[in-house]
Amino acid sequence: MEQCERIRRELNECFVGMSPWDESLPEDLRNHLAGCAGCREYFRELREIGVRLAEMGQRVDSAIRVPERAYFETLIDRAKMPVPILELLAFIGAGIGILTGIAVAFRSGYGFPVEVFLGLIAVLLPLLILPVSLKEGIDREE
Amino acid sequence: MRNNPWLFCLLGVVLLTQATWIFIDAKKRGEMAWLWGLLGLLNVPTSLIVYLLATRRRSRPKRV
Repeated sequence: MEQCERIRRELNECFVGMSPWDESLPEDLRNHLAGCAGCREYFRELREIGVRLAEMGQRVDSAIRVPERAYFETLIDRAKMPVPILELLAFIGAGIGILTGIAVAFRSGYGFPVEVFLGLIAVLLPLLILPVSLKEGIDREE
Repeated sequence: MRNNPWLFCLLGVVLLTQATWIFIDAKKRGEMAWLWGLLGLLNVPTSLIVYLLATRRRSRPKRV
């Protein structure tokens, strides 16, 4: 039984690897799985959850390295949860407002500097955000 | 372009669609949905490419 617990903990650790499952499992884990129906079932469930998470594009990083499988289920529930309709409507409303504002500024003849300023913001901001965002992702993984 | 209001409208619809999709996707992934959504309003398709690069790269699974 103790051995089963240890094996399951190690399987949870392997969960981070996600794929290829069978090939990446250490020899002793595979041997144990071959002879233990309970752990095989546990492994099958884990793999099912892993596939579902991957299909939903959920992050599979060190954050998922927790023994409680309930945590995986929480992630799945969160991904299934619909986006609150009011928040979505608020965003669309804000978007229409911002676009209208930009269009009005663009057409009302403020002239060249304003157009260049808006253009530079539109082009440069996403490019500036990319390295920051990637760095944040790397930091989070570490 | 300046004299063609339909082109403006089309651009607006494309931007809004892009931003809404980014907002919904970011919300489901637990990213900063409002920030990414507003970024999606700025231009097309750079914002979308930046968003996909940033979020998909982060979510790529590690090999054991």
